[in-house]
Amino acid sequence: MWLALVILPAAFGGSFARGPIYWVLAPLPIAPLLVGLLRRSPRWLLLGFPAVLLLPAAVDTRAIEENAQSPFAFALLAVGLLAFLFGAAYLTGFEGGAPASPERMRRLPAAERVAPRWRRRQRVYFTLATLSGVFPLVLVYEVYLSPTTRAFLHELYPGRVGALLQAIGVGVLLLWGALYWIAFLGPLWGHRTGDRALTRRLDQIRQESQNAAPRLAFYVAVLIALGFMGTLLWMRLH
Amino acid sequence: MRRYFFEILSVLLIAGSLVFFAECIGYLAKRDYISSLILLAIGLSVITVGKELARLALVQKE
Repeated sequence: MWLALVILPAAFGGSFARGPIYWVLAPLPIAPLLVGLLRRSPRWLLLGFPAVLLLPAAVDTRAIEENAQSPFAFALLAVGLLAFLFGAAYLTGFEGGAPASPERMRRLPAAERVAPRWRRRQRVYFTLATLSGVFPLVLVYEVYLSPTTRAFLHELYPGRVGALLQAIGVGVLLLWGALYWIAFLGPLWGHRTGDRALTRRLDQIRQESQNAAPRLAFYVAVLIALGFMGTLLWMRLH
Repeated sequence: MRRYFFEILSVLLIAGSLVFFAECIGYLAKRDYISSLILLAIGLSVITVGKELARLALVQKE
């Protein structure tokens, strides 16, 4: 991801010649990545690294533009992102680091090795993980890279293709978020019956639902609504 | 009594949020994207307040 998003576009696009700032920013994402790898911290890996990775791209936006226009660069970035997510999931999957090695092990009889229901579950998990990678890639490809979509947009909306692509991009993001929440995470919630965090959360929700006072979300929503209404009025008056 | 008050208020707020969403579409048609985003945020906030009041009405009912 670092090579595809920062180094290669900068090397071929001449970003390093723009000034010393790019020389400072380009190697910076490696620091949170190393910290995240050493500490096996989800915050450093999934928040710190992507946030710092965007800094060089923010200084020189051509890197993003080139990745968005070239199918090869997009494929490279997509493979890198998927590999990074799988790696981060593996490294951060065990609470407190790597799983402790067992004191003793016993081989199960061949007939009991993997129960059919676990084989079914593994198939479902594997399919969901694969599809959660395939779906966004296909959506992004169809919107931004497919020649058919490009030709269709140029024919129907001449001169407004850029703005329309941005709007469709936001739509794709929202659609994928809703799909992921409903169709991918939704079925998995029911499988986490032995999960302590989940049962704690369910107890919390049960207690909250019986609480006769408004929750924090109520006050935050009132403040946001009033604030934005004031902003809209101010924009109309000035 | 309080239950009916919460119920009426929640219905009004949830229905009122639809007005903000409709206005949001109107502003999108005028290509005023900033205003449409602000209206979308107002609509979502109003629907959240309505949802919370509906929950309070349910608690009162029980």
